[in-house]
Amino acid sequence: MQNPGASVVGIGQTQYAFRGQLAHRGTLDLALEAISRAADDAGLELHDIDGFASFSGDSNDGGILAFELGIPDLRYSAMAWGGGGANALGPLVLAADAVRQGSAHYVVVVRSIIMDESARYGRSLSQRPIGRFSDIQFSAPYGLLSPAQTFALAARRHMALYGTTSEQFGRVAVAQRFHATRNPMALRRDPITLEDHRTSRMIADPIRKLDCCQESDGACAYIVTTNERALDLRQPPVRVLSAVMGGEPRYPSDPANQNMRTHDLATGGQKSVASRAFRQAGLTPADVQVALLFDNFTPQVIMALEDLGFCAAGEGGPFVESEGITWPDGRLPINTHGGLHSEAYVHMNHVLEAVRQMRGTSTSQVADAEVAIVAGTAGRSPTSVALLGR
Amino acid sequence: MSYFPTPFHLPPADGPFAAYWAAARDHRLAIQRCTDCHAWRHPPGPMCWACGSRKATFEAVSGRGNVLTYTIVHQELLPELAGAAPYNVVVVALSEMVNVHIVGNVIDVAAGDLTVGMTVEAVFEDVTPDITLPRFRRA
Repeated sequence: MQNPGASVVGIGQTQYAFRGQLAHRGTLDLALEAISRAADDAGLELHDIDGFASFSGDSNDGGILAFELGIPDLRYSAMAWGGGGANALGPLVLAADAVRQGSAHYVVVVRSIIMDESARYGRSLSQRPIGRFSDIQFSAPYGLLSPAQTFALAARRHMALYGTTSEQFGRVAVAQRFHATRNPMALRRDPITLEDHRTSRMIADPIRKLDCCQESDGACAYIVTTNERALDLRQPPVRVLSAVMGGEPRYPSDPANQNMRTHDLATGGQKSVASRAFRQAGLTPADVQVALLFDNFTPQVIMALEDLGFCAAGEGGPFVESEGITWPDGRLPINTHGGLHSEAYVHMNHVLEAVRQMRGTSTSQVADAEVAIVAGTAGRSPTSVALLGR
Repeated sequence: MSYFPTPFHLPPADGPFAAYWAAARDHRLAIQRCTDCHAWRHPPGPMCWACGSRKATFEAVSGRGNVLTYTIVHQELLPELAGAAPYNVVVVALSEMVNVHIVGNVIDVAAGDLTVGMTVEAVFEDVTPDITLPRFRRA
């Protein structure tokens, strides 16, 4: 069944910068700049906007943004609930539903991040003291403290079950960095080799420094409206073929909680949302030419390729070796902007790149790309997947 | 002998999961189990995911299991961890059940000798007079 009705009609972003470099501006200023650029891109007036959506506890909310922008008729403000970066497509689900149902006409999805010391991704996740009801009391006392450490557990399980290697993780890093060398917005543009990956500092075995994404500041925004309204705007509309959020049974919301219904820890938990996204769009993985996969750590990309159905469980490592994830010749170029790994960690920059790919304006444009997949493969629930098309 | 030089992030001994930590103080591993349908669950919580019952007890288990996965941590993210790295964090699947995974440390295996599948058993470290942490050793 085709999921009709919604398009992405405008994208905008601030410059990206390393952690703390934009702290003097604050997340509100960054969000407003990204929204203004998205409206310009779409050919809309700021006062046409009547809805807002975000995720992962973004520090701005619809009321604040509507006040600052002077929105005359605010109709919609919603936050996708839970999942952190895994739910990066959650606000697209909300925005597409809102415009299709007529709750609002032009919904902006926005994410604005400044990584001050309290938000640092390489620091301890745990608050002191440990909360009385917090599940963290069953993991933090054992020294399981950061995202790199928790995601290392899934990576090691994948290696043990399937023979996946650190070099295969390195191939993801090298491919994405190559794509970033072609993208002037990317923060990391020096090419790297497998040898650079192999000798990069060990963080939490098997995760090395070059398996980790950036810590960065910046904001992204995009505007969603109905296909009908999209026809009157400046850009060729990018259709939302499907957008889905959800989770598998007993898949944890907190990555430090290693309990799930089975012993299969080596998954991003996206199989059910991916099959629903493909079913709703009436497509299969063979119809997709470019993949934008949430790459907080490189092993997550390999697990995503499996969860999304581009290869069987356990085949993600061989897939990145032999099938090709590198532009221009790979069977499935991934993260053609450089991803969180090399462009910036703004949680949502993958959606903007998917839109560019569908417009034909990426700096690593996949020839004749007609369908892009975007996935929040961050190993939490709820997670999210979207298929975008020309 | 303590696994870490200085205790940190200790659980609240009198919190809602006091029964788990009280069992540990008695050097027993006790997992929450539904009184009505007998499903195990961890971390503990107020309701059974399988049947919706709100009645549960903490039931002693053997403490034996297998390492599902592990990481060797090379960072020292807290002042209390100074000198502790590299240390291991493991996820252990307990023998009695399929869906309970315990996070811990294996105290007697060098970093290079730890393997997925290794059989381990619970040991108990009295970290403070109030708190005992279950960890694991090779079985």
